Formats: sequence, C-alpha cells, structure tokens
Amino acid sequence: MESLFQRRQPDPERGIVIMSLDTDFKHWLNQATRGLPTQVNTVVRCELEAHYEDALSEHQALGKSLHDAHLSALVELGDVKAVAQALHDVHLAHRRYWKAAFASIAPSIAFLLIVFSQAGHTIPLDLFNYTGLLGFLTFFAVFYVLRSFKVLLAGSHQIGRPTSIVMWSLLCVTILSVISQWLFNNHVALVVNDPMIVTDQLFSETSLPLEWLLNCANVISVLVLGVGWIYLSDRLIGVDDDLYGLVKPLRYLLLLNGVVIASSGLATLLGLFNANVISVIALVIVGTSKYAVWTLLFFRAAYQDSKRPIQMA
Amino acid sequence: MNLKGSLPLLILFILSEGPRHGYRIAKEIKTQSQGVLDFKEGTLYPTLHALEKQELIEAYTEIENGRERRYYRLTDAGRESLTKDLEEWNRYSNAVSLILKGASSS
Repeated sequence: MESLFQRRQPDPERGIVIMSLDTDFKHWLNQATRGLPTQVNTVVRCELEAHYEDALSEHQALGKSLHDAHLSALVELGDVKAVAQALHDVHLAHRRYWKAAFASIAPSIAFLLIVFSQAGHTIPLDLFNYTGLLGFLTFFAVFYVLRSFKVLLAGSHQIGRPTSIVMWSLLCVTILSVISQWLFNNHVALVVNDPMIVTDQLFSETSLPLEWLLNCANVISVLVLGVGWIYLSDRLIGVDDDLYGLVKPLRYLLLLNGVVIASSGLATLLGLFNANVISVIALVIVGTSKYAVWTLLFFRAAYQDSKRPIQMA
Repeated sequence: MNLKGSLPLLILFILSEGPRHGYRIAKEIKTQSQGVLDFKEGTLYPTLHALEKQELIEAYTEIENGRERRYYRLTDAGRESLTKDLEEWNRYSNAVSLILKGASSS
C-alpha cells in the first residue's frame, strides 16, 4: 500500500496531493483525540492511523484513486465529533465527576463559615467585607454541580424542557443573589449565600428603589428555588433506580431542602421573623448535609464511571 | 441499520472466534451481516476501550508489516458475559419473531 505517513514523493504535484490528504486526516485525528490523556492519546492515534491506512489500502485495491480512497476511508470513520465525544465518555467522564465532587465541597464550607460567623463572630468581622467573594465561590460551585447534574441526567435520560428550565432557573437565582450581594454588601435578602441575615430591615424606608426591586425578586426566588428543588429531586429519582446507593438520602434531603427554603421565603414574605430564623437554621443543616451527599454522590459516580459501558450514538 | 446498543455483543462474538484488531472486527461485522449492519468505524474504538475497562476483553500489541497493531482477545469474564448476552438475545429475538409471525399470518 501507499503509506501516507512514511512515503515522500519525488513527484512534486503528487507530493502536494499526498501531503494535503495527510494533513486532512491528521486534522481529523487531532480533533478526535484532543484532550485525551497522553498515554491514551498515543494508543488511540496509533489504532486510528492503522485503521485508516488499512481502509485506504482496501479502497485502492478496489480501483479507487488515492483521493477517492481517502474520502471513503474518512467517511467510514464517521463524524469526528461523535468519535471524540465517545472517546471522552470512555476516558474522561470521571474527571467531570471529580471536579463536581470537589466543587460541591465549597458550598458546604461556605455554609459552615456563615453559621460560625453568625453564631458568635468566631470569624473576624472583616470577613463580611468578603461575603461577595464567598457568594462568587458558591456560584461557581453551584454552577459545577448543576452542570454535573446535567451530565448525570443525560447519561441515561434526555433532559426534558421543564428540567432544563428548573436547572437554569436555579442558576439564575444564584446569580441574582450574588449580584445583589455584590452591589450592596448589606442586609439585602440573600437566597443561597447568606439567608441568615434576612431581617426586618429587608424592606426599610431607607432602602433604595433598586434594593426594593432586588429584595422582591429574591423573596420570589426563594419560593421558586424551593419548588425547584422539590421538582429536581423527583426528576433525579427517574435517572437511576439506585443512583449509586444514595437515592434515598438525596431524595429526602432535597425534598427537605425545598421545604425549608420555601418556608423561609414564606416567613420572610409574611414578616414572621422567628419562623424565618428557625427555617434558616434548618436550611443550613439540611443544605450542608445535602452538599455532603452530593459530594459523596459525585465521588462514587467518578469511581463507577470508569466501569460504565458507554452509550452508543 | 443502526447498531444501537448491540455493538458490544457483536464485538464479543467476533472475538470469540479469535483475536482481532479493530479494522478486522469492523470489516467482519459488516461482511457477516452482508452489509446490513452499518456503523461509523471510528466509534468502534471507544466501545472496544469500554469493554477493555470492563475487563471483558484484553489488548496486546503485535508487530504487523513493520508497525505496531493493537489486538483484542476475549477474557474469561468476556466469554461468560457473551454466553449470557447470547441467551438473552435469543430469548428476545424469539419473542419478537413470535409476535411478527402472528402479525404476518393474520
């Protein structure tokens, strides 16, 4: 056969054609193997190169020109994106879960920091100047967690429009609360980041119109968030009968989380300060436990994923 | 025809006849099905690697025409899995045939 990888043609015109085909296939190969770990990359490239050369040789033996044989071989290999995706599913999917697992630790830490700081100023007061930073950290963590949920949900089920809307709503609520915290860094109601500082100053006469607007949006968001968690928990049950053995704790924690967030929002709306404080304390406990279970879930998913059969397109 | 989900079974079956490299597995699936079962050959390798991770097949390298080639062979676990999957497949296809025969005779 005429190997594209070893041969160098003396004929300049033919040489250009071969170099072009060579570049064409190399481009396909680079796209298919991009991002794979070095060792895997070498093996996969070697296999695909050998496959391509065999196909090229066979098509040429059937009388096709080098150019046509090259095109047929590439068509037979298939869509490069599908191949790259399938390779990533096999060799890299666990990395996403590791990332999610580490990311989901962050909100737990943020929650605990808030609890300690509220409970007795065990954390220097200056930290309050950096609550925006904490919020931003939480935002990234939640973003990763939601993204990983998406991966998890897409593993064996298609994500329906309602689930997608709920997930993105949760993300928007988080962004909204981060923005409000960043803008004012005061006693503005915070949905995800710092719910313990929801007080009767929420709607004071001194509040700016924009504060009023954001506060109203946040209170509504609290309710949306609660409903969202409850809906998401039910969707998660449909993903996998077992969900790595964590289906029951996760389901109950998410349901409970939804209930306490919603009750906190309702108490805020009705001006029931004590009920709100109780809800918020419950929220911190349940929320921290929830993130802990998520962390465990993603760690287990990362471990299981190495043995998970891939889904063929 | 789309191979959706049945590619791992076909690979295990082909490998039960002896070690093969990727290209030959792809060609045998197409040849033995007389071209009915068609698939994009690039996606064969992720499936092979997934089976390897599940320890149903194992890979080894051989030098062929001066270049390294990765061959695959069935493991004991793979042989067991194949037997189970074939039984399952036969039960399934018999059930479908029974229904379709009923439909064609009515």
